[in-house]
Amino acid sequence: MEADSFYWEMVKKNIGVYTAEEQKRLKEGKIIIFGLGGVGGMEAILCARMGIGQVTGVDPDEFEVSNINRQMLATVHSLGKSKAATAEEVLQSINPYISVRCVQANVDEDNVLELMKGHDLVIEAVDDIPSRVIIHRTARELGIPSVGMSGSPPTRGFVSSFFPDGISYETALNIPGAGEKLTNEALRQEIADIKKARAWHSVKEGAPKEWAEDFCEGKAGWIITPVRAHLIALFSFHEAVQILTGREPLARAPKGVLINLDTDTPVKVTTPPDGTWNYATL
Amino acid sequence: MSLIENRELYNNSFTRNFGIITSEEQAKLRNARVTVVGAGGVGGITLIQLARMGVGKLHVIDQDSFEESNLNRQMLSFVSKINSPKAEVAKEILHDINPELEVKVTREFVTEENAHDLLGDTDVIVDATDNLVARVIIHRTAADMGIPSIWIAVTPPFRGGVMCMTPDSLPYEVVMRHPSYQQPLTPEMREKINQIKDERAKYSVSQGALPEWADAYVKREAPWAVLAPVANIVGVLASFEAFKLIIQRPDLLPAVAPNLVKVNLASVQMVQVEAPAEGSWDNTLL
Repeated sequence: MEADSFYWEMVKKNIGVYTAEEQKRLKEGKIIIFGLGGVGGMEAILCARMGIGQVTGVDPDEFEVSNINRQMLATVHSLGKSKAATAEEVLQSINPYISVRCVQANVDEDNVLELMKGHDLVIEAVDDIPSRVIIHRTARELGIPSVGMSGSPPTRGFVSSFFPDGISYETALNIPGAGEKLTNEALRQEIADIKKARAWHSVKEGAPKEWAEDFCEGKAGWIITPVRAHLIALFSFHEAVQILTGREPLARAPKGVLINLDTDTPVKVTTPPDGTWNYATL
Repeated sequence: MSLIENRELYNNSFTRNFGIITSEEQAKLRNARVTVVGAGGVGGITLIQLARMGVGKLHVIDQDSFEESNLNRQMLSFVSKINSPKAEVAKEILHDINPELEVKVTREFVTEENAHDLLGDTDVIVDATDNLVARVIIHRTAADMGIPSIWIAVTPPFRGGVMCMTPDSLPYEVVMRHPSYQQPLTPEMREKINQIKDERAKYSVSQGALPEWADAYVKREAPWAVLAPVANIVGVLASFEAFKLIIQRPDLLPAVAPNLVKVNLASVQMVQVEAPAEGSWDNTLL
């Protein structure tokens, strides 16, 4: 069988770290990735390379020039094209024998359930906190593990794996309204504003004050470089593979993988001292 | 595309870097020349990262063509590029990231005969080869020419490392306790250097690699096992070391030998900068 022999030739260097049995679980695995930008685009590529059998991607946007500094799917050639269509094309060109479906859509309360149903694992790689809450809360409701992340300037990041029977995303990160649907605008805004608190904390960590002011007024984008985006993607994806193969992930929530490239331990697994995290500091 | 359009494209491409790096630092990146030996699992992502950071000139050295078993981790590999030369594919993909990037392609293996010609005329050399003898030649030549060089390792099951050599640091073969320091690379010496990799395979078993794999590797019946996350983490970190060597910010120092950025995804300290207790490293344990 051509498809089968191609698959096993393609993944043969995985064997030795993972067993053929574990690789088979990856081959049968169904992953959905929310966000196909700096973090999610890299994770989508990693899914195809690692031999995940079914990959779904969700992203509402088209590529623009300022994506090029970090987004693996962004090239001059793909400018103006939808991230979803580009991802589908790139993933198929890495591995034509896996099933790939990418959807150009904005995830929200009204479509999240339909999108997520039937998958074994959720990878969250979106940049606004209300969407993150919606994704992880729904994964929990559906009994699906989910890997979450966040990144902050200068070169900091956070990755954690959430399980239906473990601590919830909102509880682990001290987000108000745990378990609630985000239909209340005031609650949604309160959650969205955590990102402003993160911008100000980033100033303490070395980001420019002017940037934080501009960000809070909606005049500047979140600062992000390829090193940070890709490290977050790689550590998130490693969690995903550990979970799908049936091994233990490194950062089962509330534990987190903390990235800070300005320190002597740039990446470490950390248990929050008080049992949960202050999201503003991540 | 005209020069002016190109200039706007460059500036717009890297707007999101600002806030972390200054426009002077971006200009340093734009003027920098980096040579990457090996466009595979580590070298491929290193090249892509350097292009996305806005480095202006890259030299890709690789004599191989892509094969199916590269697809599991090598970011420049695609089904349509199977049997195409890695260095040429790299050029094509890097140009699609930054059309004004100057990419030089060399489809050769680095040897003692050609090393000085190939590796001169650059600001930083990244050694992303998998051949231990080639690595000795690369770091010897870099030291000889006074050019900083970056060493990497990817080792089963979840380990890796990145380290910078500079003209002032300990030489590579001393840091790694190689038998070859200041010795000619005779066939016997080459064999001794190559045996280090077998020892690394055997030691990997104590770190969680499958014993059947290590046995088969030593008998040349199995390839070196490499996972996408580890190879790409090492490549991203290598590009960050190159970035630090280029921008030379006083408070953002590269990990210079014997200090080593150690990667172990199975450890709580997943990435850590370590100084060896005895002043040098045993390469078989890395």
